[in-house]
Amino acid sequence: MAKLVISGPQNVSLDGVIQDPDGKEGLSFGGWFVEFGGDDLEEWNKVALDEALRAEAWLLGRRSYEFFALRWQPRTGELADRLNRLPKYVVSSTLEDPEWNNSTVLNGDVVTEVLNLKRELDGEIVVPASYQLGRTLFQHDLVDELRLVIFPVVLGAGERLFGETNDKKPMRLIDAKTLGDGLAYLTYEFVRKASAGEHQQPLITHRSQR
Amino acid sequence: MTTTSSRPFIAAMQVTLDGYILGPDGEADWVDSWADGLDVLPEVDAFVLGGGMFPDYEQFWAAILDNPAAASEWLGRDPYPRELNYARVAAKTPHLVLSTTLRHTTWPTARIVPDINELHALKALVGDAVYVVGGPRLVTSLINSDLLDELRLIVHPVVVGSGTPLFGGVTQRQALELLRTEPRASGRVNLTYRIRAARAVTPAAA
Repeated sequence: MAKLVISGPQNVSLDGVIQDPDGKEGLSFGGWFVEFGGDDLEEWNKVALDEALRAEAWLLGRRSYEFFALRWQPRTGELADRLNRLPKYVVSSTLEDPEWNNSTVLNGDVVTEVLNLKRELDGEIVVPASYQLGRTLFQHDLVDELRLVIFPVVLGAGERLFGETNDKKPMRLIDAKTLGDGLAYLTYEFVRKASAGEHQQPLITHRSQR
Repeated sequence: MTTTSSRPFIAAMQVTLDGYILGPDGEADWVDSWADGLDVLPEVDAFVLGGGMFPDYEQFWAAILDNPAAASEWLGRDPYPRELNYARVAAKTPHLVLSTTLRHTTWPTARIVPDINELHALKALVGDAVYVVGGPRLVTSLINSDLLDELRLIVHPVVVGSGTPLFGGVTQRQALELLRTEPRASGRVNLTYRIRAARAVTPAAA
């Protein structure tokens, strides 16, 4: 059983915005990753490499998949080699021939596909920079861990990491530290309710209490 | 612009990981105690509050101070020692309440001020730090007016998805400087940011 982790790490502004980190969408607040990451991106790169090395697979939405494929396919180096070799699963109903090495398209029901993937694999399945997919996984209680890097800026506009949730989602803080001078790196585990995903002991306990 | 000669305005806010002060039904049941904000602050000699939250604030702390039995009933437990301490500190520290609609207050040290310029005047006085208690509308107006120097967030390990966001009213991108990341045994993280008003302004073309 694999662990599903929203990370890469996951970059957010202090007000939770994840949109247009590199400014390519041309939004007024875009480009915050480099501008507010500054020299601390050296530390950030170490975390990204470390995460890639310990990942078993990546799970992505189509747009992020295409973004990363363009970015990493032509490159070499420790991180590029790792990402090019890593098994990649793309959630898409339209993509047919993924070009990036070692890619698989998941075109069925997302929840079922991801549950199967979690059962088949061991280790960590990392979901990088795919917030729409992330929200779906989050809504269905499929996410086990979240690793956030908070950039020191309030953007005041843009898509946020968390959309409306159907319920409060309690979490457990695993680790909190500073990367470089200005980035906060927080690791949370999701506190799973008895009814979600895995059918383990809590269901039985629940019944016997009635 | 320099603010080094004036005293710092520091907001201490309890938020969810997705940045909400209150959940969709106006609840904040993840908060253990409203006294916890004071614990993350240095010595302060004035409190600043918004008119929206003040009536509840006043009623709550007056009960802790004067009627612990009623307070216990509200809280569903006895007040913590740190809550008694907060009420005692608050009772002797000046409170400035920014509001154009509130007419009177029963809190002994509170004064209603209708104009944000009075807060500029307070900031210019010699003294210790000023505790910005909340709520979110006040905090964002202070950020938007370059009056807030520091933001101390107590981040609770919960995601609520909707409700009253802390930063909903921020109108302009605001650069921050992280001073501290402090995990707590309770699962909370205290994040301390200095607000860098100077960098919020779009840099002039070089």
